[in-house]
Amino acid sequence: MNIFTEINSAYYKAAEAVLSLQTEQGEPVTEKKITELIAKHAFKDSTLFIPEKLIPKGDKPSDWRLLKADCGGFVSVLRHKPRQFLTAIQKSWLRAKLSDPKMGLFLDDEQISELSDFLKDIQPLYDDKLFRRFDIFSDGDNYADPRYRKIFGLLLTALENHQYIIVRYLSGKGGDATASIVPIAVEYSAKNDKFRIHAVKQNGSGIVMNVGRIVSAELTEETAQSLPTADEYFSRRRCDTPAVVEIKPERNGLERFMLEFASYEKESALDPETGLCRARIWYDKNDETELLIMLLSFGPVIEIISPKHLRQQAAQRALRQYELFFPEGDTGK
Amino acid sequence: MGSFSELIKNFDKTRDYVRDFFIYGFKVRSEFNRKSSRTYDDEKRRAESWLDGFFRYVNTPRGKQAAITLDSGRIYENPLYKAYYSKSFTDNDIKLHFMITDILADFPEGLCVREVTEKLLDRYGEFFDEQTVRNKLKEYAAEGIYISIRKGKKDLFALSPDTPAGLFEKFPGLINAVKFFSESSEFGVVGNSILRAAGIKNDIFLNKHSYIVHTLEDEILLALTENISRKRFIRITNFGKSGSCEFRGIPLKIYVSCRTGRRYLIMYLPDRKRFCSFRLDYIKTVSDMGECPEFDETARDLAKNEDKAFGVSFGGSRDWGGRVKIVFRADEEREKHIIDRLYREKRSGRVERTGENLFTYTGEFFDTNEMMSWLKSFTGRIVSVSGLGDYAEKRLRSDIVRMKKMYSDCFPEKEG
Repeated sequence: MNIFTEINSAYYKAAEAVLSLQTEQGEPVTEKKITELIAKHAFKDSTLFIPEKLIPKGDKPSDWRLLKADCGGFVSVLRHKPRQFLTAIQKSWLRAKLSDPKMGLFLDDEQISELSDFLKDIQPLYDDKLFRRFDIFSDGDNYADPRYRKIFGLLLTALENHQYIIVRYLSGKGGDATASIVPIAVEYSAKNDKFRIHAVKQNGSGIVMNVGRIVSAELTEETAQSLPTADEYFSRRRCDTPAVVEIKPERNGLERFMLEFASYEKESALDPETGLCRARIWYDKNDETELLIMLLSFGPVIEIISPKHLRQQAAQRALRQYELFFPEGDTGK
Repeated sequence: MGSFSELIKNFDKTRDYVRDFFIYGFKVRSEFNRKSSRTYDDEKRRAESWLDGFFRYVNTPRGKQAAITLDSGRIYENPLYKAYYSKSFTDNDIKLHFMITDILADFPEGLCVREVTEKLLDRYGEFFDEQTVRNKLKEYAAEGIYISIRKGKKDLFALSPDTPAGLFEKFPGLINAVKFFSESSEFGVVGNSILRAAGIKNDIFLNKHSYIVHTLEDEILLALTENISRKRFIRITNFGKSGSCEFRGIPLKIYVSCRTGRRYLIMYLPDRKRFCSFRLDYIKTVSDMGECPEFDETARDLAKNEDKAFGVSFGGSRDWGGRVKIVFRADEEREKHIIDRLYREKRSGRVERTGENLFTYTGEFFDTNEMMSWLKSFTGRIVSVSGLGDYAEKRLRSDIVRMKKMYSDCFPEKEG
């Protein structure tokens, strides 16, 4: 089976969009419209390449011969609107995902069994047992729990309909709290093996909660009149100033840093004289402790330069560790 | 730039360049020394096109630095999936794709190769030889787009009745499932292709610890999982820091780090009589070398040893292994989150409460070096360590001395 095949080509997709539109509207499409569709469905520079292959010039047919000139525009040579298919690899992928307990968050048992029946002759694309996620946290969510599945489903409904949902949840400190929220996004962490909900409360403030901590949920009839977009919501959570760190040229630190922090938005600059790399990292204010832990795991290879409070937290931990290792004072090493 | 094409035949070069743009945001043109400047320009142009909006340029004294910068936890669709939609093709490929499908739409009972060939000429004035048409029909039957029906001595071809839209109509909940799984690390691009075919975009699910660059290894991953499932011997070409090397062995598992997104092949090397790990982003080719009768036995051996691998190392020529014992301090009343961390991150080790506010971690591992960064993430709480080996223990202590010095300006009162 192939993942990388021309059947999925963005160029095919662009051609298909042009042919579909023409078939649907029944009238010739203009060159301008064709260019718009190419820009939408293919790559940034595709308007430089696809038109000359797709659009006939004068009496000369184009290389792809899918359009012909007609009344100042172009019409499809096909009789039907192009159709989409569910390919073998797509079915095989779905068959593999059916074994994932998270599938139960989207389909009920009866639907899962129906879908399994539909895919019964298909080999799964892979067997999940071949994967060992060696550093996954062991307290992941219980996706098989019927209560969890029900709450997850209600949260998705609330998100899709911008509906308020009243949730009772266990707060981080072990207390019990209730909030009326509209979910903005569902976030999964493969490391934590947990889902979190990003939501807005009725007073407009943002809230993040682990789905596993929600004890009960009840949909209301009320819908939110105005909600921040996901971009607006997340920009409020973003740190005011980025963390600045310095990576020393030792123990392959630079490559390790770049890989481990690949998921962060960052900027880096290397000083070729010293080999030091200075990086600015943008992060979610609420996840600052996680960032600190990641940075500390590099030991002295990474120095936190700013913000001051983050540097101080690292310093306090280093000092506390020093006192644990050397209760009698400096060893001079 | 006359010969520049947005489309590519294979992933080899592209994979390396995109990874470098993505990971090493500080390289300038002259530092990409694998191939010519022209190759760099072409690869950069392609990557810019796929990652439109995520490229950032900084002028430095060394030259213009190109980097991909994005917070992958805040994007709904991995932009690198576009690389999979850039396979090159011929004019005949695209003609046959649309025209044969258009013909078969009128013949649900199916047509044979000759009939399809004739209709290509009748309807569109396109002459193809039967062999070309047969190849395309067979290729599409293998891809699941057409179905092949045996009628007497003839093979007829018809359109597959299965469509993404039809499936989603029957199972509406599957739309969200595919949205979610399309961003998962195991072949998410296939799910993305389903959404794309149905004209749907993920607008709900985000992935917090998501390492989008690893999708570029999915072709290699598929070749490996297929060979593991079929219990085959394989040969891989590996491009590590020391150049290109070939290895033959029994592929057994894929180890995944959820912390870094890196994936590794675990393979038994009969020549060395040991299990070894290979980073997927370093593997260039995978070749099937035939049936492996020892597969099951070797897989059982691996299963017996897995708990002793803290990460992906099964020990090396030097003896890094040992039985470790680490005592951590955490306030049981106020720092339950630290104790929770120990329990959920312990892997195959054991955590026990061994005194007031004291928790002891024990475990036996092939390579205790792999524990170091995890251990340092508990800086400020490590009471004692043993079993790491002299070298590692000394280094841990000297690291703390260095860190204290590094941050000395933050606690001047302690310095006097």
